[in-house]
Amino acid sequence: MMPNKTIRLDFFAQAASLFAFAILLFVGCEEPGVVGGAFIDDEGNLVTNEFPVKEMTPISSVSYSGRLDVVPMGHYNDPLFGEITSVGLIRPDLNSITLNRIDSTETVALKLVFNGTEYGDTLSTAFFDVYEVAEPWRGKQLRYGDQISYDPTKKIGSFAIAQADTALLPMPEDWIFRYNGFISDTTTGTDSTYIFDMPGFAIVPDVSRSQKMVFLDLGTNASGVVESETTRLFSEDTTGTFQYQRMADWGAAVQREASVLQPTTSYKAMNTFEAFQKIDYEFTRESLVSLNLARVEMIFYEDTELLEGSLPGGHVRPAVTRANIHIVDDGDVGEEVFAGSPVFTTVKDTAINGFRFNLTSTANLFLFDTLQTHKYYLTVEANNGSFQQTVLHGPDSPNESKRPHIIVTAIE
Amino acid sequence: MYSFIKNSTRREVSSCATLFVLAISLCVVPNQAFAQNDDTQVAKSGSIYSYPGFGMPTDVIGATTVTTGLAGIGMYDPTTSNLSNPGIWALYQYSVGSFQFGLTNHQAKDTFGSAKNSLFSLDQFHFVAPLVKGRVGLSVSMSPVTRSNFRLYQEGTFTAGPDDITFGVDEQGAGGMSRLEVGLGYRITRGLSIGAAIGSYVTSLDNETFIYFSSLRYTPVVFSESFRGTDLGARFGLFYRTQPKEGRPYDLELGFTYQPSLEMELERSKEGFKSIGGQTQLVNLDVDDSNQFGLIKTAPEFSVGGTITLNRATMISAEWMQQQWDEARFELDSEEEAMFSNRSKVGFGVQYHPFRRATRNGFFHNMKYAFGVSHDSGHLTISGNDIVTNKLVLGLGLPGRRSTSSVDFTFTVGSRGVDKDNLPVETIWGVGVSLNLAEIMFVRPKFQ
Repeated sequence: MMPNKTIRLDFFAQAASLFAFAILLFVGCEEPGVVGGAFIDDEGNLVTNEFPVKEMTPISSVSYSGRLDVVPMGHYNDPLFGEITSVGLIRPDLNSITLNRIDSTETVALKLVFNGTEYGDTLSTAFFDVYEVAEPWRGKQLRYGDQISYDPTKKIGSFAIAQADTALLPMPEDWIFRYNGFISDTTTGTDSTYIFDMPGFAIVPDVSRSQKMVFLDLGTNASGVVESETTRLFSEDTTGTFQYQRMADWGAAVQREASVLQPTTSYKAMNTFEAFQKIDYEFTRESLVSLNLARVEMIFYEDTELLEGSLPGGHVRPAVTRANIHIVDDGDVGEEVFAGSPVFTTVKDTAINGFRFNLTSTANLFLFDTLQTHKYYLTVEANNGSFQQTVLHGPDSPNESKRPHIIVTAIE
Repeated sequence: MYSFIKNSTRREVSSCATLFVLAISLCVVPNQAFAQNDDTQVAKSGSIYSYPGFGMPTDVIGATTVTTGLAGIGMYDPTTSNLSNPGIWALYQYSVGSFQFGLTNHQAKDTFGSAKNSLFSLDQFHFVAPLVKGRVGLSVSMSPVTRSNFRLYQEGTFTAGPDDITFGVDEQGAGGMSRLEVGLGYRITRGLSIGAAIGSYVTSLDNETFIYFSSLRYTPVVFSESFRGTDLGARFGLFYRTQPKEGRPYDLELGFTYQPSLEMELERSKEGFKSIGGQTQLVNLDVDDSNQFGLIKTAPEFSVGGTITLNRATMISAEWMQQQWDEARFELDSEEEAMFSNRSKVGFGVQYHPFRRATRNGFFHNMKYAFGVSHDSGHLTISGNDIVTNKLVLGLGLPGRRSTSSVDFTFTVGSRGVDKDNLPVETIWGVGVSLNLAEIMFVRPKFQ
């Protein structure tokens, strides 16, 4: 009797163990799948709404053309964006780490390295004459449209750019002599005198023979710049030792004539801020559908037909890959968009040739907080010295599907 | 010998008490806790048909008939509590209690796909104490009224401007309506007794939705929706049994219960994380009062059941229950409310308790055996199809040797839904345990 009773004592525990075992058999059996679609219609809760951007107002600003990433130079008559003539301006530095005096036995040359980007007739050759500049200038003060005079009697040399991206100009002796005087002068005020007496070089395109623009790479920004492979004034002594002088200042004197083509329902956007757009759009509680937003997107489409149709075969424009929206409520709009950071930046969607801005966070601000009324400006790229220009369909574009609009995806 | 029995009884009581305390502690965790979605839980999803409205009705199953899957409207057993019929509570001679829990596996399939869900549920706790032995009984219980535990995944496409986007909606719901109830039973005559209970009914439903998009431009949307409400409700019961009479081949028991509908105002809240001006914040997604509150109304229920006791060991029960879901309301979603339809359930069960026989031999005579079948027309009619549930329940009970406590196991197999109009058909597998604790749990017996 005793052993039998002992077993019976723990039967509750045995029962619990049996149940625990049963649970183990079931654990891990969850495999959620696609069932119930016939009577559960949650798909219907996802709603999209589209409404147009109300207005695009063209804005023009005279922005800076000096001390940018690259120096544009050349001549090109773009039917859509006008005839551009750009004179490159550079001035070698006096404070090189390695170059502090030039011996008479040394060879001195100006090496110009271009970044490979072309604007215009890619099959053509661009011709340039290099002169000494005749007036003092400062890169940070140069603006598009400024003209800087050069001395036609002080020609340094000439070069042509076809497929190659480098030009080499030997420096004349009298220029080396004058330059040597400045780099060996350690008295104060040398820099100011240097800017007045030796303002630098003007790289002037031969307008009659040039139908493209090229862009000089100063090699100033990137780390790891190989001195011998970028734009430098260099000297080579008899032993084959090189010394390099970077550019102290640079810029471009750009002239643009009005274009032949003037689109009426599309709008130009140029990274030089010669043309950009003020955008007017408005959120309403109804247009945003619900408080539960998945995405609010504003889309601008390029007028590819106009862009491509206005260029002859073999001609190219530097691509626009990025667009921005700035908020500027007060002050000089041109100054603000040049110096300020955009609130939205987007990369071009090449599948639709459009720029798509994610405004979800802003729309939520409207729904849950206080969205202040701002003035929004659409720009492309950054004013970096290159000519990146595009044309965007406007609110009155005959192609309705390409008009700028806002798409709301919300869960009701 | 006396010493051994005393010690062993203590150990048995201790073992029971441990389980009991564990079960009670699980049961009394606030209902809201059960309603939370938690990825660490494994078995948390049940029938896909618990999605509409405020959940799928959960029937009160008395411990008396749990092994047959029947409610036990018309059956009294002095050793097991019966929550289903308040009229029976008057009859108990000593305290009894029970708690039930189980694990159910739903395998759903329709023309679009399939899903497997497992749900571990603490079904009910019930305690009855005689205030006047055999005359007046007090009942305290906690049990579910409806339960909504589902997880569903749907896919779809939409066009937003230049994009055709595929999206997936993963929605998980948990919660339901529960009741905490106190009731009294009173025996009017030797055979007739009545009972009533009043309960606090609490509704707590939590749905969590994840929406994923095929386009990386869209960040996933996550939001949760909650429904909360409380109200008081009542149940009534009537029970009659014939008295044992020499020469009559059987005894008869009959029970009737009625539960009026109750109305409850649900407060709906919806919230999610949103990027607002570059900062992520938890925000209330309800916009106005028009969809913040909604009335729900439960279906009035009438049940009748009877049991014939053929001999000490054999009992045959039959039941019919009717719920008027036509009267039920779910104001917050009229489409789901429109699915409600009157529900009727019939069941039949047989219990065989050989241990009650005068003579019993062998291990297998120390157990309880039962089976039951039920047909439930369901509370939903979708596209003209009643969502019918058919179940077969097999039961096995282990009675205690020196006490009247017992452990009952149930094994359920069934199906729900119809293979029409792309509706999912669920295959149901379940195991359940009912711990039935008789007076030994509450008052230590005295051995003399």
